[in-house]
Amino acid sequence: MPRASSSRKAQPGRRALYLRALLLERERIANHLGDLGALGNDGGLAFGLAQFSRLKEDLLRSNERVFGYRYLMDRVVPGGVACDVDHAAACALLDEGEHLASELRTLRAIYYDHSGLQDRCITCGRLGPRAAALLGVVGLAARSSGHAMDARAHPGFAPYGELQPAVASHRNGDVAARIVVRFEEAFESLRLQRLVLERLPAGELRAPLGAAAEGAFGIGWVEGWRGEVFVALHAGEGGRVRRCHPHDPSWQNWPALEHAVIGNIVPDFPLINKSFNLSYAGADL
Amino acid sequence: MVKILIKIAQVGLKSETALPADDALRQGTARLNEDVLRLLGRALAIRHVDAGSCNGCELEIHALNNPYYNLDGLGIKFVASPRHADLLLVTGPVSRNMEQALLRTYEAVPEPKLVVAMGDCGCDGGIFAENYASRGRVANVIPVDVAVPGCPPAPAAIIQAILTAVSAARR
Repeated sequence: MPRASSSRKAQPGRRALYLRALLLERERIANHLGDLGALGNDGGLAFGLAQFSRLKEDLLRSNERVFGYRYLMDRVVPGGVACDVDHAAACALLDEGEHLASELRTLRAIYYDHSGLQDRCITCGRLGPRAAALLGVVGLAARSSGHAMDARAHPGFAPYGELQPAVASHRNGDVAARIVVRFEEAFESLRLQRLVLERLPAGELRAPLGAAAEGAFGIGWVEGWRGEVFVALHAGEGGRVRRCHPHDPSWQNWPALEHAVIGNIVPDFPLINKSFNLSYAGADL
Repeated sequence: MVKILIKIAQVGLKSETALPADDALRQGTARLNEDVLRLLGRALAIRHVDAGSCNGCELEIHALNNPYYNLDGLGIKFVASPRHADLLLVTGPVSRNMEQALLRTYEAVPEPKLVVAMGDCGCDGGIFAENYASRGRVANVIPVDVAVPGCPPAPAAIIQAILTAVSAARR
């Protein structure tokens, strides 16, 4: 969901902004867990899929309990959020985060020490920094190919200015690099989740919005788990949408996969494909 | 290797019991008789068709194979060809680009051609409804035995729908 809208004069409250960051980081963690499991599986380590899919399911169930939706859909709404976190829920999420970080450390050590898995991933499906730049690759794939760009580190993406997110990056651009970046981002998201929950400010959840003026433009720009999601809106008569342009990272990154697979053996294709894990529907989830 | 074995021992078994079949999900009349059910035993092969889904339903289909739901443990597996399948699991509203493909897939499935329509879009067209690009619900294109609503439906509900489709004669 877009994080801001300038077509209507309203700014979400600080509590709403913090909760949006919490939702965004939990979505990132869930998807990174799913990908790390699938990457282990495609690399011949089925143990990884069993473990990470279990951890992802735990996180989704906790989303259902706290936010009322496994995939957190419809929780971000114009002007704020449609959910809240009370003290008991915040404590539960903090405990869950501690436990998950400990599990992740164990599994990271297993992945990094597993010679069979590393042999499949290192130098496999390389996307060099130059190719990534020429193709305009974004998000996790760009960060794994030497471009440390992350919308969360840009000025104006509240509340991230107060949270100082560390941008993970790697120079190798291979499947192994995309695994490393996922691990680092999952740990960083857990750290951000802890900061958000500890500092959660009081305030309203949803600011009232007036009708958009005819002809007004609004943009939304967030760093989703796969990369930057950009939406442009042009308001029409009576507050209706005249034009809408959603631009998701899958659309942007698909051509890079064609370059990353060149020179690789056919059985490595699923592994390389999964390391980008782009959406077939083009609708970023 | 030692770390892997320790982790496996620590985590233990996580699989949960599946929900029983639910007649409320049934769309048509019971089409399976005891003979067919005996023939299928507890094994079932599913061909999944994405007829225009946003991929939200696919996330939950993937979750079916996590240790909690353990679909394989019920003798149910996904296959790569409709000719190997007993049941079609269809997601999404049927986009016009996928209409022919869905029809051909349905024709390729051997009898009794069970069909489960999954998700709000599969059940009634969802937010896409019927328009220049969408034929709407799955039942507009092929006969549907069981429909499971949700955006996306939870994994337990999907398993329940599949079990309902294969237990038609056991009412």
